[in-house]
Amino acid sequence: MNTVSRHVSWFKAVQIMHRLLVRQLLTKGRLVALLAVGFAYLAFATLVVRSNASTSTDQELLRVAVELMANLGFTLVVPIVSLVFASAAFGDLNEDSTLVYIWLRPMDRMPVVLGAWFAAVTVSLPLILLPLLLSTLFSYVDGSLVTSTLLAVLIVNLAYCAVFLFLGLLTKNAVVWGIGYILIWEGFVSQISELGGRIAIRGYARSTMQVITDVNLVNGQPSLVISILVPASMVLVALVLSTLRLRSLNVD
Amino acid sequence: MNVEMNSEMLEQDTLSASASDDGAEIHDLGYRKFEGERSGLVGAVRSLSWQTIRSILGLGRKGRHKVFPIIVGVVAALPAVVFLGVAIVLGNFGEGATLTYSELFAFSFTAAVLFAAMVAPEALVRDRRDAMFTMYLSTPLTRVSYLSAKVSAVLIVMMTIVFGPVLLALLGWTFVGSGPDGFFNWMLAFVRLFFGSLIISAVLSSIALACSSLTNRRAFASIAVILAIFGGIISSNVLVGDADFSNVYGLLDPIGTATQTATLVLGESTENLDSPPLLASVDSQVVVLGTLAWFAVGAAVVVFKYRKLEAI
Amino acid sequence: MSVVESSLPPPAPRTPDAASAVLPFVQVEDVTKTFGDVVAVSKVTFSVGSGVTALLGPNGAGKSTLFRMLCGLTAPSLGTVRVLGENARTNRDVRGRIGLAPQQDALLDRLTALEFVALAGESHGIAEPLLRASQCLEYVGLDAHDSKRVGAYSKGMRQRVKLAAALVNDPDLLILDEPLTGLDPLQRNRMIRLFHDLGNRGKCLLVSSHVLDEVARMGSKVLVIAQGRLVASGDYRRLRELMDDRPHRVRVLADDTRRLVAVLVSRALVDGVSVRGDTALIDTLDIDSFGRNIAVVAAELGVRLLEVVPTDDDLEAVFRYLVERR
Repeated sequence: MNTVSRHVSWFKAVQIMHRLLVRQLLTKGRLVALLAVGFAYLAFATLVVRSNASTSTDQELLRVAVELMANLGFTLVVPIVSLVFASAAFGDLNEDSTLVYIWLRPMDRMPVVLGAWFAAVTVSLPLILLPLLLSTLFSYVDGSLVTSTLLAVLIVNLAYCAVFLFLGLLTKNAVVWGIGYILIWEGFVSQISELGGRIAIRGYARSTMQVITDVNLVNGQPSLVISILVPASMVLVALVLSTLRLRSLNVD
Repeated sequence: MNVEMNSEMLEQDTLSASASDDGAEIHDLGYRKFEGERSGLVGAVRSLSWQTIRSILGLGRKGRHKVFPIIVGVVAALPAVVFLGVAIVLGNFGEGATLTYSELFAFSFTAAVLFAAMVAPEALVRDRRDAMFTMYLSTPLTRVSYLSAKVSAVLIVMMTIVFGPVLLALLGWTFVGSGPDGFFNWMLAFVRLFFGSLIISAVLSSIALACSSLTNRRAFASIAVILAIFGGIISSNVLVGDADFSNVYGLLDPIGTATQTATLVLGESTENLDSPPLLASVDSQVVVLGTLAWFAVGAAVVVFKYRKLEAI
Repeated sequence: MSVVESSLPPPAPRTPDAASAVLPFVQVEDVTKTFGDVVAVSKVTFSVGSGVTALLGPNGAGKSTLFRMLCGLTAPSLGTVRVLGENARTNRDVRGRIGLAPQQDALLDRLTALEFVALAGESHGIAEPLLRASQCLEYVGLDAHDSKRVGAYSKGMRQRVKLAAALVNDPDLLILDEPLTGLDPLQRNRMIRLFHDLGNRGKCLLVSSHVLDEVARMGSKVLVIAQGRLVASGDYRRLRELMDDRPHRVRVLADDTRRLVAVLVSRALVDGVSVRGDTALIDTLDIDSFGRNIAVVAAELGVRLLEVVPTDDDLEAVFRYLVERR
């Protein structure tokens, strides 16, 4: 009999959640569908930039590639892939009534949330980075595009995963609400309201890319520090809210 | 408990309605046969359609189930309300100086797409996941009539989002004195707006229902709707706008294509707009064919999947 | 392999908890739970000690809601729930001393049984979760080395996986919601023996069911809940005695039943009787007096008693009376 300890350390709890959810989230259907989205983007971006290659200067090509990344990659691929996995991290457990097997354990809530967030990032980040980085390698010459893509994806994926993780704990219809956030808030409210724009995650991907590539994507002079700090704060707030929500959740 | 005791005890049971000699009995719990008129297939379709609308809009459920449709409805109606407000506050400055109906369609398309991503999965996916589809097929409903009920429900609620704002604009402009002159012209504008909205709603519904036929998870169906529509919109804009491809590639945008067809129905010109639609320079017949193609592809997927679907 | 043969190793030593040593395992005080306008549980008060206690009630009576509140999965709208002296919703350590086999069929379907139970062990802070998981799976009669995912398991096997996971932390309080559903008769017998085994080891088992003969075999302590209210608690045989407004029914078989019954009626020892052949079904409100006198009367008359059997002091009679008032 080995049941001496009844306490699970933070590190162990994070590890347990991460391992479990990576396995639960990575279904064949999700993997194939989202890889298809990513590689459709890759094929499309390569086609567009290559078709401009013969007639454009390097600077014009950089502009096309960056705008493509900002308008397609960061509008569709990054938020959707993040949404699918992050909202499902707790959402699937809640919908299938299996959250009880995690909730009713002597583990603190914060590491459980952290583990779920890491799991969502672990599965979504490679699926986003692979096609987006390949598209920059296939289509363009300048290293600044690769660097900016890498940094911007990292910043916004972490933030999207935290926000959508919280959404998955908030409602059983998290994907529809998440799409609503992406389309209405990020696509509409952020365009007409300065405050709305500051809360829109996508804006920080655009400002990061602008700072590194010098291609004009946002109004004014964005700061890289702000582009990192604000999404980092969003992550913190979303994870704390998720912890509180998990604590007060009615579990089936 | 042995049978003998049971039968003896039941002799005293005042609840029993009928009892046989061997002690078996059926209690009369007050159930009654339905003696009223049966409404048949038409009634079944109407009932299923209405229940689907109720489910989609959260009618008869708690307030939180209505929040999402209300938000989407507000976002869809916002442009029309804002322009009407401006017209009322600043006075009559003429229909030409305000938004065209086509522009109103374009303004509310995000809300319409979002609504389609919620509505169609709610209408179709849940029935398959919960095996309700099988139950429906045990009623007078057939696959065709089942789909008719679902399609009509989806189309009706999509029309509230697409037709609602432009109807509001028409009424508003009429109220401030900028509407069509005379009853005939007003009715003509109304009918044109109705059919223009119907075209956009039909294309959106068709794509959304097709995506909802492909998966048994509502979340995936919603994502598929978004990817199909926005993938098309963004692709066409990048191809035509950034990569200087022919404007015909604008047909990859299902909403742009349907809206351009609706514009033709409305008889509005888009030539003088600051940023004319990608398809403005494309031949009208090609645009109409493109709209039909989007609708037909969506409908074909739904029909194909439901013909193959096993009722278990 | 029988349960006794494959019994779990003894529990690990744990620092004695002075508070829980004197407190009942479960204390529920004036608890009400509402969902909107629906009252699922209404003003329920009881406490439970060690051993097996059955929670009985028809479908929708509020059994699962009560269990969820005990585990802290949902908070009561009114009243207090204490498990091992604490609130399981807020006290992390108490959650480590509870084992729950929920009613719903859902498991983490992509895991094998061993992985599922080991995960439960690991999340309870057990040092060697795989070893412990193997022991628990064997205890419930499952193959720990089965490579099939639990998603492919039958209903009965899934029930046993849930039970193994609930046992993995050697809980002080074991809450089993309809644990016998889907099991074949042999497995049901096996599980009932297992529950007795655990109860005899000082554990507190709360088992819900609406299959009355199985509950009767689990033990005599019951909590009866109907329409969200606790209608009775205690030993069901004692409950039967308390139902003094309802006559006891006794089946009597003798070599001259009709003469015996006639005298019993004339001496007001019975309140009702029906005779069919040599068998009489006798209703009496004073079962003690009837029991003391029937043999005396039979001896006086020279009638030979062949059978005197109470027919409605079983759990079903008690349940029907309490829940349906008939």
